[in-house]
Amino acid sequence: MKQCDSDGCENEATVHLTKVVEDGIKKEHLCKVCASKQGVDTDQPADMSEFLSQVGAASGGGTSSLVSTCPSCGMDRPRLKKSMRLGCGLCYEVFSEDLETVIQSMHHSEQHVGKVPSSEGKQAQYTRELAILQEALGTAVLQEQFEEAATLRDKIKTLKAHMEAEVDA
Amino acid sequence: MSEIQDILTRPSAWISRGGDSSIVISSRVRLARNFYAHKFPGWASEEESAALWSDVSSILAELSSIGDCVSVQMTDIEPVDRLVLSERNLISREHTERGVGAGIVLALDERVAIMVNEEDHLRLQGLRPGLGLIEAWEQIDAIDSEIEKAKKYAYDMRLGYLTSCPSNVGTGMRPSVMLHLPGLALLNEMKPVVNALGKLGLAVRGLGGEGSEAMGHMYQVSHQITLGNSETDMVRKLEKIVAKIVGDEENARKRLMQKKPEVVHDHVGRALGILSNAHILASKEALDHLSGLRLGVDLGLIRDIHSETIDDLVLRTRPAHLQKEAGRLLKTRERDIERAKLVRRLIGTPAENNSPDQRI
Repeated sequence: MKQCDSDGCENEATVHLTKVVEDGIKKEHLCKVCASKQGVDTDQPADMSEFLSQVGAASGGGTSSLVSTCPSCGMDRPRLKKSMRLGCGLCYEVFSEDLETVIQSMHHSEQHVGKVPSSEGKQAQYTRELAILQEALGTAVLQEQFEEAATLRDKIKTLKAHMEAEVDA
Repeated sequence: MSEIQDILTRPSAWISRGGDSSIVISSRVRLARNFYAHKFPGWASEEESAALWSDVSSILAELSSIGDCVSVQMTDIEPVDRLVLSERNLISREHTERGVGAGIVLALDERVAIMVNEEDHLRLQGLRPGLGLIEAWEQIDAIDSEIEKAKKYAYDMRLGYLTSCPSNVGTGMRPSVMLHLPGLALLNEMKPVVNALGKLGLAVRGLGGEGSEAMGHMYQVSHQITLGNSETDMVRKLEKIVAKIVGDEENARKRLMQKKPEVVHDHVGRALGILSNAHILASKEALDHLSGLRLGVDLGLIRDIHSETIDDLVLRTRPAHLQKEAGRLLKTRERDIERAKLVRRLIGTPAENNSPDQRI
């Protein structure tokens, strides 16, 4: 369960907003009560409900979204739904909720573990290594290879320490 | 432009046999890449696509890891020449129909072909004869690393390389091999192979594109899933599975020769008979019989025809290659006549050579 973003509110966030702000987009997760305080009408679901039901993601119940157009390229939800082709890189962020189940059902994974462009810097490289190690750890545990699992756990520990040291520096 | 004509009019550099297995015809690794803060090709305007081509083609021409290459826009290539490129698998069929901003950067040795403004900004392809996925990946990887230093890619920490279609996010990589599997096909054993590969996340399709039945018993096997596996894991997995299929095919051929030798002799003999004597030969018919001939050479049943001649014919009998060679557009019936003429000339008629039954 994801908690409502509002200060002091402990309700489950069922309204997920994507707002266009000056330097890109901002995501907010609110409960129904706090959302209606902000003037969001959750009883009138946005036009994505039909799309979501098509891609099998309608489990969110009261899920709604304000943004249906990518601020960078102008791609909109109806056209995305029709062609299943995105307009630009930012579309992946703007339409992330729509794409989540699609990507999961295509790849059975949510994390890239392949090549990282050198421009992404050390942290990206570490994140990728961490993902690979964690996957290997999962496999080792499943196959009851506990010695291997212990080695992998130590490697993950060391890597995490490196990552934190980099951030502090 | 003359350089691309040189490539188009000479025999393909990579369909020739590599290694000791004739079962693996060729290997390919492609990477899908897009640039940061640029609309994907399918959504960009003509002006934006044209600007991206001029920017990117000059970057690609300077790459040291690609070697000597030629770069040309699709609008500057004759329609028949575009189809020749597609028949050689250097560009996709879709790319032959793209307009402003779409182009290709092609290494003169045909081992690297980069499509610009296809479904994604870049489709980097490494090609090798025979089984050579690792070498193809290593070269493409080096080219990719050089490009990213010159221009920033659209990349996300979680989703990896961002692509026009969500089916390619992550590595953006699709490694594939083209296999010749007449033994399994003649034993009606392709279906279980296709099903087993599907369960492993691999796709099998026949020569001639998606949905078509396998012409000439040629099958392309590719790794489809791009998220959650590293590039080297994907390539290694496919190489391992290809080795297994090659073993299955060799085994099928042995069983065929032991249990149904007359079926094999008949298959090969008919192929030779028709190719040597036909005066009207359709594209699929030619490929199917060339496949029979190829099997005959592999099994030592035919000794006086080189396998290179057959592989050369596999390409040269395709519609665009025939028209390129004729130097003019040909209608279907004219192509069938020209195709038969070319095959008779290269395979030899019984009057000029030995009779078919003396060969087998």
